[in-house]
Amino acid sequence: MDKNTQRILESAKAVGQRFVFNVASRFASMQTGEKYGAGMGSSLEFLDHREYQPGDDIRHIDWNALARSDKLTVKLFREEISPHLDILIDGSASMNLDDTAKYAALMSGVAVMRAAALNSGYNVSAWVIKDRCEKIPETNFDVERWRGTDCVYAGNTGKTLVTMPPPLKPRGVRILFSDLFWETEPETILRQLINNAALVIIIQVVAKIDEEPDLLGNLRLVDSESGETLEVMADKPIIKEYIKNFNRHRNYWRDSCTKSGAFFTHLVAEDFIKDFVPQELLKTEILVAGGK
Amino acid sequence: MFFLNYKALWATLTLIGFLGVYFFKRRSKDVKVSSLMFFSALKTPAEGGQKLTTLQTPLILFLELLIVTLLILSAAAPVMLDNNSKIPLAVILDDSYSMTATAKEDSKNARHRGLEYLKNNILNKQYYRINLIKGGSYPELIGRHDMTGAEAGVYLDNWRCTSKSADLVSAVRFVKEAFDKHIQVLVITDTPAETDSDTQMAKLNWLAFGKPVNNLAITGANRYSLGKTDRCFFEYTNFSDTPVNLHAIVKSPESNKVYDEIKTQIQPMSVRRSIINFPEQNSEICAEIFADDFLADNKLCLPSIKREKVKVRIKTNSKYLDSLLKKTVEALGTGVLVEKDENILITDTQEIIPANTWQMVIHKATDSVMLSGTVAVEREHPLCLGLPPVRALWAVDKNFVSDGLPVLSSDDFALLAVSGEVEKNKVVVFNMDYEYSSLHTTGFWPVLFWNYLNWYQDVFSPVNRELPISREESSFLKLKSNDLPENILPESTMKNFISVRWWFVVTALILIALHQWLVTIRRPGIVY
Repeated sequence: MDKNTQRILESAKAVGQRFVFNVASRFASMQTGEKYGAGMGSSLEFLDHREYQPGDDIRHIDWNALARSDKLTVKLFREEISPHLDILIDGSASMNLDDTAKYAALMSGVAVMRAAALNSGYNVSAWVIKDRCEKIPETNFDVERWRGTDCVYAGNTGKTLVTMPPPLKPRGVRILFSDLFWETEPETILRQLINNAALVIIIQVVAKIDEEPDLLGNLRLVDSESGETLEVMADKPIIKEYIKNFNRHRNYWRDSCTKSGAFFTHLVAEDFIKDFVPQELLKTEILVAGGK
Repeated sequence: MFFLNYKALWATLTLIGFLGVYFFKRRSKDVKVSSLMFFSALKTPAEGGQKLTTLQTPLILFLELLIVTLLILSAAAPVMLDNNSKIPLAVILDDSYSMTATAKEDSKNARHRGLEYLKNNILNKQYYRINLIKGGSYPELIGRHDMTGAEAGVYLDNWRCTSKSADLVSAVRFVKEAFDKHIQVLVITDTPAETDSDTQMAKLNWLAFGKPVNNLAITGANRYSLGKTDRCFFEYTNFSDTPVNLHAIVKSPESNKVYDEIKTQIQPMSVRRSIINFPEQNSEICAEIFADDFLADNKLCLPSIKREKVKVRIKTNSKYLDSLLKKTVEALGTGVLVEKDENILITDTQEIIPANTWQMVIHKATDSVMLSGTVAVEREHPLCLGLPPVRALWAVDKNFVSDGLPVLSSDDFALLAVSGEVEKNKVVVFNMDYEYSSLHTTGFWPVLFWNYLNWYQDVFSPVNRELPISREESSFLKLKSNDLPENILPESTMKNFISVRWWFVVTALILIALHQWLVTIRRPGIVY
């Protein structure tokens, strides 16, 4: 990892520390954990009082307070969660495409999520998907100190996920960082990830050239993973058709995620590394402001 | 099929550029992409790329080259023409010496330039039926009628430009009279046409290829006898726009004796004459000028003026006529009577005679009549020069028929007819019944016989040599070129052609459509 990328990751980490995960209150399966969440829950640790509102559990009505003030007041307790985040990083060579910010954006995204997760009291595990899913042992350290995250694998990581999935922690949050440039069926992969998970987030990291290739003329396209080449006379109709295919592929993934209950978002590398803010995750309040 | 606009074919050079561009275009740039999965749904266009070396690309390339070639050919105005609608063309070639006058700074003369023009603009066109006319002192057809360009090209070698002068107007008239009225006329000469009704016709193209050239020439010469002395006269003219130094020598080539040497300067368009007297002699005298580029008029030789007498044998069946003819020949002084090895036989019965012998036949009628009425005389003929009017009795055969040229005639019959070839067996038939005629008592008789013997002498031992080039022909300052048209045909002639441009355009359009289809077809896309 070069120094420039390291500096980028430090910045990403700083941004990530401003966020927390707002996951546990939305997913029942996470509310029986060993840590207290940032929201309210059903643990035994008292947090606050507030006026009764219809629908509140009547078991939490503070009868002593009713006697004192003649008002229906309920006790609020801190939520108890089992927060764990599994980060899966696509280790294929396409994630480290030359002359793009794709790798920096990938690792920045990881850094942001890790920082937000730690803010929220999560345990974090990370896996690099190559010919098998390799666990990164240094997840207690900052992302720039992680080893084995160099994306050089020249194979189908989607297939690896299906055939040799990592032992992910039950009821945890799982985030997959990948460009998803696989021909493997999304549902097959999602089925593996959704299984026994509190939440699955698919973050598609692409370079600008992946999304809107600015290519014209006679080109020999070289696949960054397989080395396979393709001669094309790139012109507007061809690029238009490429974009159409690309968007069809992305929408197919988005639809598959929606069907499977996973959350899908995408990052354009060159845009993301400007501010490191995952806008869609904020909009959906999976991430919220409230960190250090 | 042929093309009217051959220049457009130069555009085929663009094909080289086209191939060059293609060669450079095919050198593709490597671009690394995340994945080819979205590109693999696209068809690889055949142009460019390293696959040019495979079989796929050449088809498109071939189509493109073919399309460009077809469009170029259509721009070259392709036309069809069958043999019947070929355009008749008469090419009049100026055969005078001036066509060979070459300027010092130029390696080509008017003849070269004219030939070049003919080869580039006429002989290579398939739509002409070419007739070549050599325009010398009189017009002369070269080769056969209605030749192709290739055939005419062979006959052009006979165009040597060695005529003393060129009467091109006569040649134009000859073409107008002897050929089809629709014939196109092309005159290849060295001087622009003078305003003349014969040179202003619509179908005439007068192309001049001359350039002014300085020339020093012998423009006049004569030799005559002063008794025991011979006198020669030579005239030198400077046809230049600057003064030139004349160096001329007059000498006898036989004895190499120099009679005169002139070293002087002659002003522009001025003349220098010299007269030399020397003792009578048999050898020829030659004048030669030096340091002049045009050689044809730089040397002239005058033969001896002493002539051998013509040997005449007289053989008739009449003693009277025999005696009369002998007295005549003896009186003339230019002939001598012989019994054999004669030059001229005068007889009253035509005989078979050896080569180079002439014969005069005195034709006697069985039932003669006296000549009355006018006598038509061919004044230019050597036999008729200076003939006085007939003032005597002339008994003739009215039924006399001759296959020769009548130089003296009356009504419908010939009085004096000439046949045969000049330098072989010239036969003169004299229609006269000597028994009833008194022609010998007038001046007509000796003049006729003097002319006859003199004619023979002129043919076989001429006294004065004519100038090889006329005085007018030696002046090259008037030579000029005019604007040369690329197409000598008037617009109306184009009606003969059937344009087939659309063949090429339609084929090109079909190929363009095929090309577009080949370029734009896609492989079946991967639906994801």
